[in-house]
Amino acid sequence: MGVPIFITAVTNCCWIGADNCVILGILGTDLSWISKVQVNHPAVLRRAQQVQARRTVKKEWQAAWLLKAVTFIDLTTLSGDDTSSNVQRLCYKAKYPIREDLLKALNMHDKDITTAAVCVYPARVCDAVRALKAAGCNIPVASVATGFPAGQTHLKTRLEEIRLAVEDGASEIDVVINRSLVLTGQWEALYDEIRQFRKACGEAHLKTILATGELGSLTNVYKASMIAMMAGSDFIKTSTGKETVNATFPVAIVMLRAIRDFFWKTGNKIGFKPAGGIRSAKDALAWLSLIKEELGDEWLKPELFRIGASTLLSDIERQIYHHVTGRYAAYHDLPMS
Amino acid sequence: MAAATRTAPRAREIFTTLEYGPAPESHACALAWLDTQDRHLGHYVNGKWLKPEHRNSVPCQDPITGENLASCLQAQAEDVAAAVEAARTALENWSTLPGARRAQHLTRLAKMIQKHQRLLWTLESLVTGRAVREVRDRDVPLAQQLLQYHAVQAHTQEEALAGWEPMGVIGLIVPPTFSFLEMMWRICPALAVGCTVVVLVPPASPAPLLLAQLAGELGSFPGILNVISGPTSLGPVLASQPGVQKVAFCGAVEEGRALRRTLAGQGLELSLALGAESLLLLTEAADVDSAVEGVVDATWSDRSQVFQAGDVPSDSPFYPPTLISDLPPASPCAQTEVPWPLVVASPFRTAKEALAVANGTPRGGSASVWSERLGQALELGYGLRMGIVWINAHGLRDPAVPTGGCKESGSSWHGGPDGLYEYLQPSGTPARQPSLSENLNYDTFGLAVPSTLPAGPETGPSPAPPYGLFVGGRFQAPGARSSRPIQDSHGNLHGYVAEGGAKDIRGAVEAAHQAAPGWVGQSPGARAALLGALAAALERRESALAARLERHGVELKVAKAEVELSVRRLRAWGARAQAQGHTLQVAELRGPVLRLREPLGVLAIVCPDEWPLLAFVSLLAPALAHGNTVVLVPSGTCPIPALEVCQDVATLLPAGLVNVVTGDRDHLTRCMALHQDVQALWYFGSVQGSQFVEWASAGNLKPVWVNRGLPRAWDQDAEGAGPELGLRAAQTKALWLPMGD
Repeated sequence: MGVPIFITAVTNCCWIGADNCVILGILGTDLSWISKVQVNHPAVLRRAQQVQARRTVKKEWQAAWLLKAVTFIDLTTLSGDDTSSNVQRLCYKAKYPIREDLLKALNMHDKDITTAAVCVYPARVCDAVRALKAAGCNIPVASVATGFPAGQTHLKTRLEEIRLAVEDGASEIDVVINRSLVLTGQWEALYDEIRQFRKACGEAHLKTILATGELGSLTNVYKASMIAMMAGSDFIKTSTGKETVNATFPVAIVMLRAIRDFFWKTGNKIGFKPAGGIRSAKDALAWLSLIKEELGDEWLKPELFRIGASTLLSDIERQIYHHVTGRYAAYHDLPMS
Repeated sequence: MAAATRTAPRAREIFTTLEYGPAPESHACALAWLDTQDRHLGHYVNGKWLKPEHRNSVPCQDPITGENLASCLQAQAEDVAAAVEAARTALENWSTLPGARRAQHLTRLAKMIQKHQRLLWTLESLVTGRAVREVRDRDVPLAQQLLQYHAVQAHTQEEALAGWEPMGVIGLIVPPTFSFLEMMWRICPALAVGCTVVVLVPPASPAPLLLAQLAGELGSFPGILNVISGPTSLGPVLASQPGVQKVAFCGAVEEGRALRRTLAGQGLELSLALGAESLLLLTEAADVDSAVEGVVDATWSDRSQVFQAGDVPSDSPFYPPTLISDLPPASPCAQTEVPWPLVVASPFRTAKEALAVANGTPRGGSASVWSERLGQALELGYGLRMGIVWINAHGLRDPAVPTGGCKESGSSWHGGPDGLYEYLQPSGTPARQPSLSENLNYDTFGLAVPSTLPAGPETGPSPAPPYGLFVGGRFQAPGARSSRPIQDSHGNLHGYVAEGGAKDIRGAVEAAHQAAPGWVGQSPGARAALLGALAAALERRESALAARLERHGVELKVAKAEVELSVRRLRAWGARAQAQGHTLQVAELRGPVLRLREPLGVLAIVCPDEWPLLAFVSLLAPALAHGNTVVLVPSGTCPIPALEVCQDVATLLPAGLVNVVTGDRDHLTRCMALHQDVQALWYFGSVQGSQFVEWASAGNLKPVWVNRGLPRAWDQDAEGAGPELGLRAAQTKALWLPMGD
């Protein structure tokens, strides 16, 4: 026996949007894109629960997916005690994320597997650029900016911070948005600020951190995502890693749906970067599966998907070690970052 | 899922394609269990395997590979009889145990399932082709929750369900494609309240047999759960076994209808849970993405076996999910039940229109409403004539929440308090009497009305009794333009009453339908006030009513007491109507679930001949208090007191709310039982009449309550005003309101 269902839908569905224009690839603000948005919290939570449990990959599939996940990582260090030495270590790990012999065993040693980027504070950009050059690779350096993580500094200094980081050689800028504009519903002001960030970035990629743990509701997450994309972000990113709630599946689902809506409205593919709290290889697989389910395979490339993480890589390497050798690795078996 | 046989692509290749791979799960455990039975499954009866000889057997196959897993014996009538006998024997002990002991046993079974869950999920997955994940992560935990919830109910039974007793042996029939959960939903409440169960499962369903074995291996109380496998055609055989008090059937609508007809007059209760359709109302104020997920959930709902679509060969048993859009309700395709996941989308313009379209089908199972506007969502949620309504969710289930339906989806319930009442009867209910009239001709029962001739002059005190059919708020001449004489206890003519017929019933049902929206819209308080006013009017009419009753041989003192008791009944039901429905707490849900008690709609009542006033009022009062509109056929021998009451009804109650049609009882019963727009029918009359009503109710599957010719003590509160009446006078709806921002 089957399950016929009667969906009854309205004819005047508001979803496919109004008349909007794309000027030089960047959109004007049309608040109708966000004004009627509805996000149902409990329904999104249920979807989040399901999507984590629905798919699993094993054996070679798991190994291949994990190696792919490595190529999505923005290998990050954002600590008060960062110095040139640990940034240098991090950069070498970015270049050689998995032990060569393990890659050989998987016949993947010629695939040039590196992390997608290295992500540091603005003051460490020079160190990172130097170290990566020394390692002989062109992995991009991403810098956080605009008063990371709180964003509570003057707009002028925030913009200046971006310019300086770009000058130092950062080719990707992870900016934080001004949460107060979201919480007070000043969407146009938010749009204007992000537009200015965009200009300040110049050629560099703009990754906009929404700090979703501090936006109050999923509806706000959707609206902020849409505004950030309309203002010209190349990526939207869940969180700084410094909020109490970081990258969660429900928030991600809402952001991914906004990305999909934006793509349907404009034809532009915007990237997605979850960050904060993604520590295990299993988590990474779940994130890949989520992207595959919600946006499709087209988004599974470093240009459109990143994972912001610091300790994730070592867990992935541990899993690969296990896959190849059938043993669980000791702490000292794998080089540290 | 079974392991894929194609060669595994190398990691290199997968790195580029990022495709999903097989996630094999070993079925060794299930196969080992089948080996313990020598790949030859029988039935599980009385704590033992029953493998009679000389029976046909059918193969049990892996639906994906087609591999033969085991052969399964097909039961015959003797096997069914053996199972029922075991259940009857077990009943004596089980039903008299303290609730706490039964609770303990159910908890032990839950633990048993927990210990052997891998075996359960691999076996179920292997045989049905469902994904392991689905069975493991949802069905198995839910099965344990069901046992635990019902253990709690058993524990508090003596206190919470005082005045009710277990029905006895329950026969459960489940459809060919189903999850073992469907069985758990029904056996848990039955066992909890003290019934024992015989489950007839389709051939090749090992999981229910395994569950029965797990229950049997608890040692104590073998025989409370017996599982036999055989074709659905054994259903009537199961039902006809002496001792079976109730049959619960779930399956296709037409099969349920046929079973309803077959079992008419057999003296047992039948509950039907039919069809698997569900409905989604998606408004412009919805979170559309979440609603789409809801559609997917609904397509793969647990109501039936779900075939997972994937990249499988076209000759596989997997149906691809299908979407049909812009299908007008009139299209034949919109009305057929199909055996595959099908989504039919059709547009609507306003919420009103949505309700009209949604309620304009014979289905009454479940629906979800997707709207972020609270007012709109509640309007739709309350307006849908469905058993379950989810707001902004679909397919949620919980043991504490009743799940069921109305209209042609069958009005049986499982889960929550309603699930318990399915297996309870008021204490002291007489055991099943075989009352089947084999030679009752359904085609001619009550078809012709005997002619009535003048029977002499009307005698007796004036004023003359009211004359006419009370329809639409006034007395009207009958369509047939003829009358029937009513004799008093001395054989003298008391008066004439109108001879009602099919057209009069049609008119009365129409009038009742017109009055329904107004009456449902009244608050329970307003309804109570009107019932109170009617009670006061009856009080004023006491002497006249008593005199009428006296003429029919009732002693004056008794007659006065009957009037007085009738007055009390009206007042009591008015008060009870104000305390209805409640909120349920669900462990995993943030937000409430409302258990609403809604009117049945137009309720037809055939009053008994005895207690002409009291029985009439005792049936009328709960029906009205719960918001129904009614068409009544009063006592055949003494209809005049009821007509007398109508004189007050005419001035006090809205027109059409109460309609009283006099005439030949069999004929009027026939007209009402066959009327598709009568939503429920209570019949108190002959054995044959009861059988006919049960048979005819298969038409629109209206819930019926028949007395099978047995008298009822209307003057006793337990039978004349007990909770059973309130339970039958309204239907449940579960309204899920998940919250969060």
